[in-house]
Amino acid sequence: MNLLRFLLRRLAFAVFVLFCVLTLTFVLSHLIPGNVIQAWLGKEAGLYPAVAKLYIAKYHLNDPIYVQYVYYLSGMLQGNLGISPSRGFVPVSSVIAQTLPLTLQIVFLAFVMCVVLGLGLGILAARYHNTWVDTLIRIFYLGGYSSPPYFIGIVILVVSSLYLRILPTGGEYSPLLVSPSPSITGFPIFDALIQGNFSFAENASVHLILPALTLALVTFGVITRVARSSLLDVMQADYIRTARAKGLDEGSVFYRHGLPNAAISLITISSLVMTFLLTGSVFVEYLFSYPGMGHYAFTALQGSDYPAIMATVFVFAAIIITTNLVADVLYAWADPEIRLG
Amino acid sequence: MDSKNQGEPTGGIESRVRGAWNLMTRSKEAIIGLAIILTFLLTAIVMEIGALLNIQLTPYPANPLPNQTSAILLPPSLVHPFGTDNLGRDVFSRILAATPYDFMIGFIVVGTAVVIGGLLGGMAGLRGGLLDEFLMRFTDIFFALPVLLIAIVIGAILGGGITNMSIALMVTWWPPYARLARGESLKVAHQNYIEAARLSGQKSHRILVRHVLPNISGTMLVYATLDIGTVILVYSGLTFLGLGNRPPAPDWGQMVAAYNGYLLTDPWLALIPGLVISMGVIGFSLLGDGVKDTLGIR
Amino acid sequence: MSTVLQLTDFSVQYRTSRGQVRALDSVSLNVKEKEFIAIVGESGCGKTTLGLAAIGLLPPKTATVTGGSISYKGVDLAKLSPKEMKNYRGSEIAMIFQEPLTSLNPLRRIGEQIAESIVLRRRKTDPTTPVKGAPRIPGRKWKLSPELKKEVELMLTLVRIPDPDHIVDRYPFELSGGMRQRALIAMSLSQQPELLIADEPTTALDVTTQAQVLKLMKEIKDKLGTTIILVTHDLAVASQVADRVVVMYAGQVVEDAEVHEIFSQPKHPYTRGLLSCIPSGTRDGKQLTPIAGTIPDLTLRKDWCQFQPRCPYAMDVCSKKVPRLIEVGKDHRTACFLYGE
Repeated sequence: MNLLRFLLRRLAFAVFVLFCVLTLTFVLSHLIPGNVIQAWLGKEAGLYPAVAKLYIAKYHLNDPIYVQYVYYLSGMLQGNLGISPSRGFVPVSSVIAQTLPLTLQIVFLAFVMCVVLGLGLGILAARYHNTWVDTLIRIFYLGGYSSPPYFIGIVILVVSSLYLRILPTGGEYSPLLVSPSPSITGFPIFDALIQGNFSFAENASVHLILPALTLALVTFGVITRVARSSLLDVMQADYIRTARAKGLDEGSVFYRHGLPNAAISLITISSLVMTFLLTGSVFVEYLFSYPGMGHYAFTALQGSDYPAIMATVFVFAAIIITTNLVADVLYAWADPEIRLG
Repeated sequence: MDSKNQGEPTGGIESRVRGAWNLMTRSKEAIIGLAIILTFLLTAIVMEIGALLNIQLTPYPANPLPNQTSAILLPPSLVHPFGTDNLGRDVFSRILAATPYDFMIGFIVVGTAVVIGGLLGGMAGLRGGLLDEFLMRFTDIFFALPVLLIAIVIGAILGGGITNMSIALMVTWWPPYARLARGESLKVAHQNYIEAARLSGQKSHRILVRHVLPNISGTMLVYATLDIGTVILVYSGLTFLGLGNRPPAPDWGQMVAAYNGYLLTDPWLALIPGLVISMGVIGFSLLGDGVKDTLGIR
Repeated sequence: MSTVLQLTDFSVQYRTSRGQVRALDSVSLNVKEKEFIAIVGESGCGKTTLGLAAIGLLPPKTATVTGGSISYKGVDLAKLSPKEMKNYRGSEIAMIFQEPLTSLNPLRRIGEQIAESIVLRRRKTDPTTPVKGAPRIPGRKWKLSPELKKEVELMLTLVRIPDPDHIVDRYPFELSGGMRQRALIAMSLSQQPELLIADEPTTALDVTTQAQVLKLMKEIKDKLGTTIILVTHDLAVASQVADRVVVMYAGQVVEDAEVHEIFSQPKHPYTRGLLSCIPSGTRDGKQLTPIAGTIPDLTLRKDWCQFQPRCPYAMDVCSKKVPRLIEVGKDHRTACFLYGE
């Protein structure tokens, strides 16, 4: 069936791209100026000759480059991402396992906020297009995506800390509470809910709000712009005229024939949105002292922790590629011409 | 036989420039955007001239010696429009001094991307074949990756500093332009006068330069205008992460990061450079949006 | 036989960048019950505007009714509020348009779109029926109840679409142009309207399909007693199916007669010109004589005959006064000074 072949091809491509990313990080790690050992173990590598020796043996760092490549690939695919000098040499994978769920919590909330805000404003802007409502919305989202995420973050921080002191501005949860253990899903909030620890769940959730809001404010503009223009396009279409000629009221015309057709074009930008959210999380988590993977990437950059940098980039890339794939699947499901064509 | 309908490259540079000016000044937002951009541009040029001639054109030195500083952490006033920072340096001067880097990087990166992408894509669209296939697959991969992160990694590896970061950005920025150029070039390549040129034995690269490039440059430039703002935004992020000019040289993003610790006591320190960055980018966003509206592209 | 639609000195203007364009200029005509009437004229003569006015779909921001009335069964449609007009649209007065592919929602199955019309009809008799249309999420299938499905198939059979139970589940892009137009006819008929306006329904179709669709429309008129207004630029098409022909030029009615009268005794010079443009089936070697000149600029108000510049029979009076519609035969009206004032 055509659909299956289409999806398999997209899957194969996604895998191929991931592979390219891996190769790229490998190549890059060998371009790091200075000793490879220094690169992987940090600048104090010279102080730990025993560790260095172990490392060389384990990663075959003295072997010719193609051998290293093979070991690198097999290592990566098994989840071995190296050890992290900036965190006291613990395995990178364990740090990521700990921090990734936290980032995903924020990104998920931000995504929801983004869609609600973006779609809602996009619909408003299309409805009242070329009026002051439209212009106001335009200014709003233009300011949003033109500003660096950390600027918006700072504004929110300042406003929140100095003027509207309702929401917590830093950290994952209040120091007085204890993180739920043992972790079942890996997501602290879900774990807390499962264990019935509602106070933690509530507290941690509230801590998500400001960082997620910052991310959403920076990203919603993309959605609004696309929603507005595709809505305007769709409402000019002939089948909308047909729907009206049937005697359908304007509301039904819009929500049953207009919006669904416009929504399809939103699926295609979802991976762009994800890219913005993930790259933004690096700044936002730092600003709000939220110990997620973005924060880890940030400190890794500051501390020249190359294994961590590579690994976080790889994980981010994997998430974006997966989002792309999911978007492709959704689009194929929604558009009958692709599904049956 | 009617060459008028075949899209021959129109008139000289002058009519093109006039056409571009009309395009940019038709919508209100484009005009505001243009005004903002020109202000920044002027500042950048003046600052750069000052730097090259070793004259200080800012009210206070941007990188003052300890005996040249004023009192620390002064709030904005008439004397120090943006206040002073934790080392007593005049923030306004520092922001001015950073303009040639933080603003012009947009032009440099996008300019290079347009040239590289235009040449590669233009040739691919014109010739087709293996080059085209290869370019398409290659750029496909690029589109699937978060190129920004890759740029960060490359930059981190090369070490900080504006030259290294420019290289990192240039390497990752050209693929969309190549795709755009290819698409436009394909449209043009089938025109009769291209066939005629080919038949008369002209070499491909000459056809490319004399006929294809002038015709596709319009679309590319519209896209590029919006993009410059994006580069400024991205670069400000990179400098925030510490990958830009080494301190004490000023960079807007880096200033925000450095002054982050004073948020609760002297918020203007971190807010003002951030605002400046936003204004720079908004200028391009307005211009780009305005031009798009004039052209009827939504 | 009673009058279904009556226009009396009806005038409509459009606001354009060049000024006010007088699309309809004091148009008067009657459409009787069960009549098949063809409105013929070239592009820009106002025939489409007439159709849109009858169904209340004139673009609200640019079109204004500047005089006269357009009455459906005695009710002046131009004076109704949008809500009231909606009650007539679809259920009493239906309209189909020129492009069958774009007139159908590409994301919905044919059966669902027709079912939507049927549900609207049910609402007419039972206002508590919930307006159920196609689902709002693209991709979800609307499972039609068996009796609804049967009604849809009935409608499809009525328009002679083969294999109706199969077609119900197909998407518009899977059908040929002719079938799509039939589906649209089925959709408009499922509300059992009194009046069906067809705006150039066959122009986008090939000649054979065109003939089939026209034949279908004639059958519908005979079987269901629907009054049909066919808007077309093609006099030949009109001759195949219409009972009566109304010729329009530059926003005005220039001739109005039964179809044989128009062809055997054309009175107005424009009508005569149109007839001599039709290639005849016989090879008599006669040259086609196009009408010299172009249509006039509709932004200027003229106190003289609009056709005068192109008229081979123009007289002095033609450039001084506006000709009114006068009786020149049995049920045959024309607006030309050749036949009196």
